[in-house]
Amino acid sequence: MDEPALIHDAQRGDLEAFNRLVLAYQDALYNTALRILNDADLAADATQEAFLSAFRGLNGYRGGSFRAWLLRTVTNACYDELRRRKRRATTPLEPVNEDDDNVESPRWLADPNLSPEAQLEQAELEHAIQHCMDGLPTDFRAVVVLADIQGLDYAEVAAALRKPIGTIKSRLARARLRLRECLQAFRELLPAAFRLEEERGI
Amino acid sequence: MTAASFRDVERLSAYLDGELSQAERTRLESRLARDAGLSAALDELRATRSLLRRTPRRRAPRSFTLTPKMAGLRPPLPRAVPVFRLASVLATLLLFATFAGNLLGPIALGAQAPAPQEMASTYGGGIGGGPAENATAATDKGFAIEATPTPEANTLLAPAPMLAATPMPEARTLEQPTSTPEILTLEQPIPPSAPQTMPEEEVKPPFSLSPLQIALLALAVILGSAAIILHWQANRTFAKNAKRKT
Repeated sequence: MDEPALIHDAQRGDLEAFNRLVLAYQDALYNTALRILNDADLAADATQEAFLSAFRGLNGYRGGSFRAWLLRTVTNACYDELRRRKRRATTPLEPVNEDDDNVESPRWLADPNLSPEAQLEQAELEHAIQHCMDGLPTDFRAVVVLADIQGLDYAEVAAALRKPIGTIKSRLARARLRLRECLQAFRELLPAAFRLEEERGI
Repeated sequence: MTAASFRDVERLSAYLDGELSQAERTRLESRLARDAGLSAALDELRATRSLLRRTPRRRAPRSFTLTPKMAGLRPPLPRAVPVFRLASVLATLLLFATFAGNLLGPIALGAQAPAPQEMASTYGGGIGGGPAENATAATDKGFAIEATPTPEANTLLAPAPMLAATPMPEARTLEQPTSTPEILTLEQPIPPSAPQTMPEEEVKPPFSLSPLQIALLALAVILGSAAIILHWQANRTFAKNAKRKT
């Protein structure tokens, strides 16, 4: 995929070129929205909204990481959604709810031929992470999602969230600290993943 | 083992991400070698970070590609449309500018210039009815005699046509009987042509359009509708294409 060429064509209104970019990035945007909003349907809406506003505002993209630029549109859409939710106040902003519609029929990107144990482990890991993530203030959650789940570097996260790098650095550290405490409660539920890493660390 | 301060946690976290400068990194590494508490904190952060990085990823539940209809909120605009639109707006503005000029002009600048002309032309109309030589002589006289009152009258009173008449009675008192087809034409309806021309000219300045104004108006309307038609056509062909594609 020749990304710069596709972007260039899309900026001239070529919808097919843009849609090829959509297909390349929709998983990244959807997962970002899902982790920030913790709601599959709202995440899908936010993703769609993000691509639409990306297409309309494509001429505002002036080089740099296109991925970070797209992730900014989706985090903006998530912030809008959270604001709306807060106004309606149907759901608490930082829900510490138990389950979670999103574990019911997850469609993994990972190998669908995972063993049942591995699938269970995946589900538990996801549940634990999402639960702990929900305990974070939105701004911290967005930083963790972009840095640790999407793998952006600090400059890209800063660009996506329009915050100075120093802020990103400090929020990420604080979020990891809080997630560590939260995840430790799940330690027994996350045998392989958690312990393995810890052993390797030592 | 000392608990790491938040500053240190921040440093450790950035260290894991490879976001420390060379100098900061060597300093931190030498501290890590000495401080067991610090390296324990690093291990915990590292474990947390790699756990987060293993967050299961979901496949997008559907395709988020945009249909032409969704994206088509903005079909491509023909190049000419904004040009026409702008030109139409400019023509309208100019038109208004000429109106404004008409309203302000006689008061500010035109007070002296147009008034004598109008008088002359009405006299001309009057002359047609009366004996030509007498009339011209009379008007000559009239102008000569009135030489002193008229400049005042013109400068002060010109814009209002009613007032143009007021100096005339004066003129009659000054001139006496020999006078003056023009006063007759003004005050008495004997020659039917004169009273007709007068009101016409009174009404003209505010309501009638000069050729320039007509041209501007036509330009504004034509350009504006051209822009609208072009835009509409573009929308239609775009919608047709979209239908064909899907």
